[in-house]
Amino acid sequence: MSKTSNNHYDVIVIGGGHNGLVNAAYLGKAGKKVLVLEQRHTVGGATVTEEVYPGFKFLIASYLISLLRPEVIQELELARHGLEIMPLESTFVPLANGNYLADWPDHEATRHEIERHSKRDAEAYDEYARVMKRLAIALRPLLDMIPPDPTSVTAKDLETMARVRGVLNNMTRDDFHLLSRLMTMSAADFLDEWFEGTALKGTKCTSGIIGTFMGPRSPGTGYVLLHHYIGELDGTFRAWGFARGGTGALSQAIASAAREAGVEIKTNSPVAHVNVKNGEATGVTLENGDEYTAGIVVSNADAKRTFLKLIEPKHLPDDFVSDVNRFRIASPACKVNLALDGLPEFTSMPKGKEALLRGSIEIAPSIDYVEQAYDDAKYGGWSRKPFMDALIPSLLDPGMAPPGKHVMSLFVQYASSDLEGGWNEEKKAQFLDIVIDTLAEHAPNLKKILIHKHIMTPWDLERMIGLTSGHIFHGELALQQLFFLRPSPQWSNYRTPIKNMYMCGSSTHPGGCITGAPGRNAALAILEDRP
Amino acid sequence: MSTYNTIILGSSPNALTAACYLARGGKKVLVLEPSEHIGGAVATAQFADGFKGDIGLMSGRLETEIVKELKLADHGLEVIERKTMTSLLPGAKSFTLPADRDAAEKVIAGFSSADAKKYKPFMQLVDLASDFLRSAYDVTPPRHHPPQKDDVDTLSKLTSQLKGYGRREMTEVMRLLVMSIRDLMDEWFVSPELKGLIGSAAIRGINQGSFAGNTTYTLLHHVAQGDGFFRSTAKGGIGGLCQALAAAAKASGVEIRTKCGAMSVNVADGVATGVTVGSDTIDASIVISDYDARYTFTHLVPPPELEPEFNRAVKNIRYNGAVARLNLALKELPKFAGVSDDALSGTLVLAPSITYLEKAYDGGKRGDISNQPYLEVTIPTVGDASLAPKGKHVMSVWMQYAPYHSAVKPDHLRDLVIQQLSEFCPNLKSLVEHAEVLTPREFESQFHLTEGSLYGGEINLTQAFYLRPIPGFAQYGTPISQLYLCGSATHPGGITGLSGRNVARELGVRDMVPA
Ligand SMILES: Cc1cc2nc3c(=O)[nH]c(=O)nc-3n(C[C@H](O)[C@H](O)[C@H](O)COP(=O)(O)OP(=O)(O)OC[C@H]3O[C@@H](n4cnc5c(N)ncnc54)[C@H](O)[C@@H]3O)c2cc1C
Repeated sequence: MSKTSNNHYDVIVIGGGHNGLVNAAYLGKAGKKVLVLEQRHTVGGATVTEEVYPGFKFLIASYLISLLRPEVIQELELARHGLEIMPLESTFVPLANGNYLADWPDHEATRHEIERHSKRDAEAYDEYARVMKRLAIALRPLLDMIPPDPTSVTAKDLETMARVRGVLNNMTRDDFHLLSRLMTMSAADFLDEWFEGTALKGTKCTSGIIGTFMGPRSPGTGYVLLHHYIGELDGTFRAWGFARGGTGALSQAIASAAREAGVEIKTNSPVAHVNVKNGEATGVTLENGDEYTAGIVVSNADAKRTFLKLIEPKHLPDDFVSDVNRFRIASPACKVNLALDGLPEFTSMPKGKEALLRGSIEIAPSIDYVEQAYDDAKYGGWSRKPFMDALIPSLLDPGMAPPGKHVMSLFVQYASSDLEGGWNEEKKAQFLDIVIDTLAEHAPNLKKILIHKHIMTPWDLERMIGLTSGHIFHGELALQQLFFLRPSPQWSNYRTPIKNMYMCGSSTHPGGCITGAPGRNAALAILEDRP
Repeated sequence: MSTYNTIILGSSPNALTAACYLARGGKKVLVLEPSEHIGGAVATAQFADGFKGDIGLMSGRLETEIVKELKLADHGLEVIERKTMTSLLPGAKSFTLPADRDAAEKVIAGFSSADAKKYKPFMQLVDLASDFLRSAYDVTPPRHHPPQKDDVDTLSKLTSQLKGYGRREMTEVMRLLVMSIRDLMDEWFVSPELKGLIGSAAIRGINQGSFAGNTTYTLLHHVAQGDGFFRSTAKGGIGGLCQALAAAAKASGVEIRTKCGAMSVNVADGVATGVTVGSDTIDASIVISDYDARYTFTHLVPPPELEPEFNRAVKNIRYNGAVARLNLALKELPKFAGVSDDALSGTLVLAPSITYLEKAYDGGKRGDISNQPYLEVTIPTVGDASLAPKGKHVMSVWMQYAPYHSAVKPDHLRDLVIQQLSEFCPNLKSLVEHAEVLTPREFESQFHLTEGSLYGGEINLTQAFYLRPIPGFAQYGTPISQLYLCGSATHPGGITGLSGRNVARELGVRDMVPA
């Protein structure tokens, strides 16, 4: 194809993940002519719903929404574009001894339930929720900031640094100390300070390890715990929501908002490389050879994929290339989806409490269990008894499965992206069996009602969705990779060493999860440069 | 009976340093040590007929400025440098890294030319980061939040030091503080043996593995204290540090009593008024505890004096003693296959890879003992013949992980360590005349080190700077008026004497070098 004016845009966004779409929508609304190029047949990236087997809609990657920035929902009018989020109302933790732990929206009921395991914990529980909420609220303003460069003395950076200090200085001394400790300690140590109940600590610690290749006893997981609380809107309960139609419906809503703002979205359009001339991005070339030019190129792909695959290193400073190379992205997460001919029956689920199936079901009976799951995997293996966070979407939205049938979504850790000897179909099948066996220990009828099973290992997440090492957050949420260090010290403000080239994916601040924040912040940075 | 202005409970290097500076500031100081050795666990004592061994730490350096200001050389301090680190590798192999960086680069080139090229730049970055820590360690941590006058001064000095490093270096140093040592080693080096040897300093003394976040801070801490890779001790063993400090203290008029008997702090209306020792009551306007916070606030001070909130914070301090120490009395100098006699005056380290270290921790994590432990070995008699009868030797071993919360059997530990070392020194067993094994339990029962932590609380980022020993009490004061802490439990932790000098400053001593 020749270069015609039809192929010229103000902005090209590589990748139609939810952040790419958010970025495009904001830029479209600001009057830019925007093209989104998505390699897959559908937009959404890790935020998709796919009918893998006829009638059964699977959440092949993300499954719940919690950290989505309220500004994004409002400014893009996502409700009008079809987004409907239903809150998840309970958590159910089956235990090996036939017992269980649960929480409900009803505060008193939860209190009694926790009291059943430990009177002391019931007392600490409310205070814990209050403290976490306070810290999360204090930190929230940082999420919407374009991170400052602390080494810079430009007026802009100095002003942002002052705002960061303001956020910290607004905290009381006690909260500031607590935050300092939580950021640097392990989720396990932190929970040990609050609670004594094994099951309660087991389920709580999982927020500290989601998507993270660390065990709950590793310092650093305290921060991840807090990261997952930032979205808990209503304090006491884990305010996670399910989007009608699955997380893919969110991507569709954003795409619809983007199209309305004039954004053009092309699927099945894998970008082969970014074209760079004299240190400036000028456009992209697709794998099929098609070329598009643009004044601005934005990448929604992760930092490694963007700067090690789509751009020739000769266009980049050595320091930057080495920063991208060292960016930690080894991943421990898999996603399993099951098509079921009925509902799983958990032996420990009390009669009359079957409504608990509509919430989260967590296989995390203790910190030791989760830590062992990590230990099994950390040298290039997988958990013999994995941690799982399960959900039965078809109970919340019957449209997810054919009538009378169900789908079950399982987020599973740990299985190393660097599996010894590498992943292959046989190993996938083996690990899938481990997951099903582990779940069947709690719900013995599982194998009887199983129609289809499907696993996304880190290998598949990389091959299918383009996540390097399958990393669900486009890179570990380790302290050395956060805020002004994400993804690289001098390049945390969505800009890159290549002029006119930007980043808008989860490798940038504030990192992974369905937040829309990187996409929105990147749009703000671009509009700062090109109003 | 003379009256004292200040009484210090305990006699670690920090306590003695505080005593020296306070005496210089005109205070009348009494130091009380319940055990028979000055220094408590920082001491060198006879463990077999004619054999002397370090009790707790087996290396350590006093802050250079303190050595000068207190003229410790004149008081008998003779530093013995351990100028090499020898890595013991599987298959009875080894390599010896000299302190001299050019020479070290050549050694590394023998197994990895890529790593050889990176060694010096790596050490330069470590220098920057540890110099920065050293500056932060030299001052009392900020007191207020948001920071006020003094705090702002402290913080802006530190910030300008960081900025002075240059833009890239500044952020590199900041990253280092929060990284896991595994991540850091992977960024710099490729050879497992170099990663293991250098990385081992990051888990030294803590109950965490090499994969754990923030472990690089622990490495930088040791380096900032001059006790990172190429370490030192004193003539007469580690206790030599305390002997010199005690001599300097006495020369400044400090009174030191050992074997003083049980001690407690007297408190009236929230104010410390003195101490009770044995059946004596001694009044003083200031009492300083050299002990860790938990021991101080559960054994030395009656708990009813303290708020529940504070007691909770004390309970939350992580001690996690995980180090066992062995002193072996040897018939003769052992031979390590492939290790030169010269290298025996340095430190021998069994940490062949980062994975090895993490695996050693895996056992410890669940309350067992590692069957493949991380070991550090010195033979102090090579540099200091006074520690053993003529021709005989002492071997000192540092072993991790032997956690406090595990059923560690000393005999099992001894056999395990000897067996482990026999791969390199096949006749070791036959050379051992006597073995002393000290586990975290012994450290606690004999020296009142909570959970056997040799540093008065784990050296980790959650317990550093303004969070050490207890958030809100990092300025050496306590909720009890006139009661202070000065030990390794306080900022910065360790036995350099810096916390002792910081306390003296807090108590108004201004002239560190007398006119
Ligand atoms: C298994 C799993 C479970 C998760 N669960 C949750 C959850 O429950 N809740 C939550 O909040 N978060 C969850 N997450 C994390 C969350 O889904 C991601 O952090 C987020 O979706 C990332 O969005 P993104 O737009 O930054 O990147 P992506 O979604 O990765 O989007 C990048 C897009 O770029 C495209 N692309 C890449 N390279 C090219 C190319 N060369 N040319 C064209 N297109 C390209 C990709 O196909 C993709 O569409 C989960 C993630 C995974 C993998």
